[in-house]
Amino acid sequence: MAGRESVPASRRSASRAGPRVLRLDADIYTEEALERTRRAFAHLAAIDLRREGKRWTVRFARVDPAVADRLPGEFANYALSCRVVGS
Amino acid sequence: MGPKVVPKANGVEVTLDETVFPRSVGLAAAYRFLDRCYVRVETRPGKRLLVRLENKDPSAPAARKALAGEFRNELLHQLVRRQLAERTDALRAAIVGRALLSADKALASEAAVPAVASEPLDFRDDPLGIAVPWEEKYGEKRDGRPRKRSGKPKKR
Repeated sequence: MAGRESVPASRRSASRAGPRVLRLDADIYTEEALERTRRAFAHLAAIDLRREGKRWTVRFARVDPAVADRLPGEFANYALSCRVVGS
Repeated sequence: MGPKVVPKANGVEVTLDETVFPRSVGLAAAYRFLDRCYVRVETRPGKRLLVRLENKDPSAPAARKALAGEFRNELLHQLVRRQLAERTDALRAAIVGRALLSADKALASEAAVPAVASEPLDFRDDPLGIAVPWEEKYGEKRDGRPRKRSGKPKKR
C-alpha cells in the first residue's frame, strides 16, 4: 500500500495489522477525536496527522516494536471511541 | 433495507442504510465491538455507512457468521435505545432538573409545583369550623345541648 513504512521482510510477513499509514474518513472521525488519540498514543510512536481531501492520513514512525502490529488498529479504535463518547 | 453483510478474511463488512439506521446508531453499535475487533467506519455514497469488523484474534468461519449476527442484533438494540431515549427525553430532563433544583432550597421553593386539590379552595372557606366564635359554638345551650351549627361552613 502506498505510504507503507519500510519494514524488514521477516517482520512484514508476521505483521497482521497492516500498514503504518492509516486513512480514516473525515466525515466520521473528527479532528478533535484524532488529536486526542494522537496524544494518547504519542509514547508509542511519532504520529503525523494530516487532512487530505475527505480523509485523514495518519502516519506512524519510530513505532515501538512491541506494539507495531496492533498500533494502527488500536489507534482507529481509540479514535472511534473518542468520536462516539465525545459526540 | 436491512444491513448488507459481506464476509471477509478475518471479519465482516456491514453496509448500513442511514435512512434506516441513523449514523449515531451505527457508530454506537460499532463502539460495542471495540474490545474484540478492529473497527473502521466509512461513509459511502447514497447515505450509506460501511462498518468493517476485523477480529483481533483469527476466527473460524462460524465465528465470523456469529459476529455478523451479533452486530445486526446490536444495531437493533441501539435503534430501540435511541427511540426510547427520544420518547423519554422531556421526562428525564424534568427529573434531573428537579433533582438539581432541590439542592438549592430557595430555587426549590420557587420551582415547587403547587399541590393539586380536588376542588378549588377559597380562603374564606372554613370546613372545620375553626372561625366560629366559642360563644356561638358552646355558649348558649338549648335543652341542655350545644347549639347545632348548620352543616354548611360559615363564610366571613
